[in-house]
Amino acid sequence: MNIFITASKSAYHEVEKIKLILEAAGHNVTPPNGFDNPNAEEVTRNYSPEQYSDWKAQMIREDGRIVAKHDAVLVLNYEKNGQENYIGGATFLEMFKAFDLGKKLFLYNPIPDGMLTDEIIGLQPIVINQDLSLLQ
Amino acid sequence: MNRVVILHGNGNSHGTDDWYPYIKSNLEVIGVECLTPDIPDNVLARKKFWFPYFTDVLKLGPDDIIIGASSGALAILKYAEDHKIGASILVGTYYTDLGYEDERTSGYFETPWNWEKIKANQKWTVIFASTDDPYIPISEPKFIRDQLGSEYFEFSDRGHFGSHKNPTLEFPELLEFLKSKLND
Repeated sequence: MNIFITASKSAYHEVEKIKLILEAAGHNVTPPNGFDNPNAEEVTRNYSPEQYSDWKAQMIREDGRIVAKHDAVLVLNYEKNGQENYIGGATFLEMFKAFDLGKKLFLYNPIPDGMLTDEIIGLQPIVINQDLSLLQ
Repeated sequence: MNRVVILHGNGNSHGTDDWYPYIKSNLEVIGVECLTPDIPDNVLARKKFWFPYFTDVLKLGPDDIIIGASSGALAILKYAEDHKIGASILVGTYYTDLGYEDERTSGYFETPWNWEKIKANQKWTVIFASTDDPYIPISEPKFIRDQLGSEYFEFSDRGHFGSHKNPTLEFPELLEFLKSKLND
């Protein structure tokens, strides 16, 4: 299966390990957009508001194109700043894209409590509770 | 029998919901092991994810009393068609897809129910139902009772025996019933 991993930057340290496990299981894995340049967003914040907006729009469109090329999206939703199973805005948009395109959508950890809980339930992700063998 | 396992429902349910910790803590006080797992795929609760978990992780077997709530009750009913278990306690149970697409995708309605096998694969079943359940018409648990010859407790004010927005934190009737069975 072709799997696109998405995660908050705070979880990037786990991506390589998960990628290796999935590849050993025979999957093709694409790391998060920006994984190779995690500081890009901070750099662009120094741009003008218009430039930043354009850059962000470009990233969102690119995320959508990447999701479309894969069979499944795996969200690595680890704890971030005390928020359990954190899912940020960009990741949520990727999840919606996967749902919209009928892709399989896996959550590594349970659905987080918060303002997006009901919407995430509506995306009907497969919560795997860290069991990567459930990616089928 | 020496273990009790509580299976939560669908819709992002968890092993810490509602009265599950109450049952678990009260059983552990008397030395009975009680598992309240978070089962994968807890939004749609599909058979293809749940049954391997029952077999490979929980290793459900003839020494287990299984408490199933809502989709958990549905799942253990279907599981008992092909697996020996000790007994089951069905809370807010049903056997049709209730007209919901989500229920149809669960995988539990693809084959006809084999009530004889469900009955033969366990020692006893009991049902807790409420006439004011907003999701389950009372005809559903009554039908299951009639097929399995289950013990049956009907309430008029318990709804679905808990929900995310209005959790039910205690369930003394179920606890007392369970204790009586453990003492048999």
